Amino acid sequence: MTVQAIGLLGMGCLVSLIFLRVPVGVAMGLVGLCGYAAVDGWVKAFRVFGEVPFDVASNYSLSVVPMFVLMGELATQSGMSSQLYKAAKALFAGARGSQVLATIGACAGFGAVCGSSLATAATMTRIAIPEMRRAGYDDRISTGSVAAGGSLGILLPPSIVFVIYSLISQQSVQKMFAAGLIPGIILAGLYMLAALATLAIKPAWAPREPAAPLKERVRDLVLGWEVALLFGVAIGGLYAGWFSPTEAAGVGAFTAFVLGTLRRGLPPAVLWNCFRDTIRTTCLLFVIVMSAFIFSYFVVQTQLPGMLVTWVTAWHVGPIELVAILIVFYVVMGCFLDGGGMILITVPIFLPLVTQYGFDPVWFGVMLVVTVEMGLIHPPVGMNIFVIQARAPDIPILRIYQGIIPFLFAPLMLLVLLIAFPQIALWLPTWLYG
Amino acid sequence: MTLWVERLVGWLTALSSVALASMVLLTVGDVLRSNFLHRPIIGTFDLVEALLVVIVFFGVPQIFFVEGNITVDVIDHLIGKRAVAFLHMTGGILSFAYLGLLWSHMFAPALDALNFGDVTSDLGMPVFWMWLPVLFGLPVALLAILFVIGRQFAQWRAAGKPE
Repeated sequence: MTVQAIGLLGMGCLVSLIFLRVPVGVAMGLVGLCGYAAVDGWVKAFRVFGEVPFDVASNYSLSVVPMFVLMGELATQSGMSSQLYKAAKALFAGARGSQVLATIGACAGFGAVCGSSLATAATMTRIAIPEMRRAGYDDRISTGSVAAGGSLGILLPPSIVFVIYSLISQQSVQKMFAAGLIPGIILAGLYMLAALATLAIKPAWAPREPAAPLKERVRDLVLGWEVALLFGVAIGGLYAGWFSPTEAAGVGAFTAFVLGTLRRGLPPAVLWNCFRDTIRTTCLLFVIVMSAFIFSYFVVQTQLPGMLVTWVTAWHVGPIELVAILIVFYVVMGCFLDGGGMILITVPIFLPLVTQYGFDPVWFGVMLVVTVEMGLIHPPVGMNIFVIQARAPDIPILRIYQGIIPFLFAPLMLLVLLIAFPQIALWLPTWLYG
Repeated sequence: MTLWVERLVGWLTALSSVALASMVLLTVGDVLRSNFLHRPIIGTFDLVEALLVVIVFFGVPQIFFVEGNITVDVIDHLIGKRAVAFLHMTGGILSFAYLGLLWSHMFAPALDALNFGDVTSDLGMPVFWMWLPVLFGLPVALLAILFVIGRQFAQWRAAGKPE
């Protein structure tokens, strides 16, 4: 059997195991080990198997993961998000569907300190949906806006998915964080446009609320200072070159702790929950990353990426067609697989192909994350949809599906913009880091 | 037994949390000293790496104990309850095999680090010390998985009984 055939067999086994409910990390590790052994013998395979997890777990650059996750947990559990929502409401007050716009704005703001889409969606479901229901908003537009806005968490820095991508593609974390900022802001704007367009067609879905007096709005607007400060210190410090990514994560987590303590939002029980949840999220990611590295050793041995390049070149696939094929592939995969797992499995295979076609790996990373983001919200298995349903179980899932459909056009539009104008993703990292 | 495993996993999670808090404080301390006193904390790099190993390998038992790993559940709607319970159990057994193999093959590089006297670059700390959380954390994770497999087995048997 050729090494390429072993590679294809390995991919088949991996997909089968994942669909048979074997944890993604375990499936990747086992297939990686057995596949490597089939290519290069058990002695070498076990050597790699024994060393790689330690190398990953003692990798300094990965120390950003637990500290940024902790920053997000502290901000979430100390209740900073509700203040941010009030501030966003003050900003958009008076417009039809002001709370929908406020939800998307607050999600963007919170995603910028949280780094996790699921956490952003879960938090905003708790805060925004009850308020919108009280104000008479239709459940479809309220859940749709939370699901869509929540997905911004993985595009805006400090995105944990970007950290994973940086590691696997050997790009700088700073560059990836810088590359995600402008597309993230544009996507938030596109989500708002999608909401406004929906409300123009279905005006009954959102009432027009009276604007509060200016003084009151200004007072509420200031309430968002904690999140702004947190973002400014951690990510601003990173962009300004004051901190390395690890330092930014450490300072961010510490600032979140101080702010949470000052607002009396972190009693011991809540603080323990923050740490326990951070440990769970971190270890969940590390199990997958360690296994993904074992798996990527196998992928390299099988020469699958080279074979893919040869195939695609032989079929005379153009660059735009290639990107379109990859987007369709990721959107379909996103129906079944978690974003991080999808990136870890596929990037070692696709990145050589993409760079061979002359695309920038940083740009590809942003494209990939936007596509993964779509996977979080598109039916039938968008994770954000399930998070909302779990937190608001009285809303039928079909209504959430109906609500999310208009928002799906926004990431598609962003992908088109990114293909047409790659500088949207590349300008800031080039300007900041050369 | 349940309580005992739960406690052990809980203690390791607590130690993992302490390591995380230490990492944050160390990093902030280093930033402050570097910027205001122009004297960074020597060995921050080594210590952060060592603390990361503690965070990860003392935290791994928790993730297996609460069955928190990412799985794909699309098949659940197509097969019966008993079959789903069986797949749960199979996933648990494969997880046990995976971590068991991992643990047994991490001894060799750990012993190499000990025998060759490997040390970290800044502090000269023996690298073998960093292997200790690995060698201690993984068996606890294995214990946690065994406990989970027991629970899954009971669920599988219960799923077969008429209601």
